[in-house]
Amino acid sequence: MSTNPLLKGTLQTVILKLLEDHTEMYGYEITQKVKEISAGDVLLTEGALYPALHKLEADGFLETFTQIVDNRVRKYYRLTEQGGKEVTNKVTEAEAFIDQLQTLLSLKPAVK
Amino acid sequence: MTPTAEQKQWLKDYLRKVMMYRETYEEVYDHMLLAIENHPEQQYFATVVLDILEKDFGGNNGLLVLEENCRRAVEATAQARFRNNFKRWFVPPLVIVTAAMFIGLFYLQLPNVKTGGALLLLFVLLVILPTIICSVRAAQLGYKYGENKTSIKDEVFRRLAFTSDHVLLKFLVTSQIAQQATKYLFMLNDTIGMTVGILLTFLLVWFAIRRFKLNHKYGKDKTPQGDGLRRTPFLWNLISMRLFIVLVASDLITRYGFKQEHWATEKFIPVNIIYGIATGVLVLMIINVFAVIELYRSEFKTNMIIN
Repeated sequence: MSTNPLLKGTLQTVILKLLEDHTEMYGYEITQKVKEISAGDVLLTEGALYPALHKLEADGFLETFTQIVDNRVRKYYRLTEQGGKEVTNKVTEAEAFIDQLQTLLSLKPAVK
Repeated sequence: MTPTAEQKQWLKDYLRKVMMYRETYEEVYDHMLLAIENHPEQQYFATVVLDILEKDFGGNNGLLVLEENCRRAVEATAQARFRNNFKRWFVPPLVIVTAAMFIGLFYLQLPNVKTGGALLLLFVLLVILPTIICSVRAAQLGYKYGENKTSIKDEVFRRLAFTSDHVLLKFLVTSQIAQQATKYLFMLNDTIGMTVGILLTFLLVWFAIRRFKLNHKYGKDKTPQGDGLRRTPFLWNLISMRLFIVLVASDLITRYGFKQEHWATEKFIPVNIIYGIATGVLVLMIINVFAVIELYRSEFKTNMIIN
């Protein structure tokens, strides 16, 4: 996913959360959004992004539609109803994991 | 930078050569053009393309890995769904239907039962049904041949749909080999006959292996290159394996099928076992077709269709 291998397992969560916040996005847009939000710290590699998107689509969490832009096909992804529920589960899982990590490593809780 | 029409065409041609599937080709093409458009003007087009290709996709090999990972992701899900559809027929309540099918098909093979060609009709139907399902699916999706590359989903679906044909083919070829082996090894008493029999058996085994290998290789070559898409699936299937299966089956039925002594009987246990296995294969093929139809229906429900 990025230069940080710790983030690798959270790719699907990141994609689902982004699509929950932005309704519909295409591949390039997702990479740029991640870059923008993380101020360039997290770089989403396309080699990981597209297989993850296809997997989520095949699992029924995402649905796609295409638009012709400048004589080329642009594929947009958006959440299905099932995907909407999955976002909540994935985010909860990620939060629980972060909490466990904080406990295990005796880190200070993040400042809110 | 803004690429010119020629540069766009060059990129398109390049990606068409490298990429195997429609989904990945279209996405990567769009992605690369967007990245090029967002790139500063000062550099040469080729340098920019190579830079994006290397940084975003990990180079030429990265594109291939990306495609393979996409295919695996889709295939794993489709196969899991297909397996679930298949398993449903072996647990209540559908297991009752499976048992009834088995008993009914075995009954049809008893000597005093006149089938009126029902078994042959069922057999032919099972052979051509995957072709029909794939063709209907393609038509319903508005599939256009010609320049289009094949879709990952098309390939995965096609592979699963033709599982029954492959099982049947293996079964028929194996049974043919067994029959020939029996005929030549046990019915010919002299040494020459025995030798000829052994050689013929080896020849049949070699033919069967070669046939499978060729089919496997051609099947692989056809999809990635996209050339096979210029033919309609129906014609392609007809001229490849399907015709072979029907010919072998017709030969079997003509030679052995209608003779009284070869029908299943309650008196001779080995014959019953053989017909039991044959009936089992037939039942599995029928269930396979139902599982494929279910997969086809669920695909539409979850918007797994190609766009």
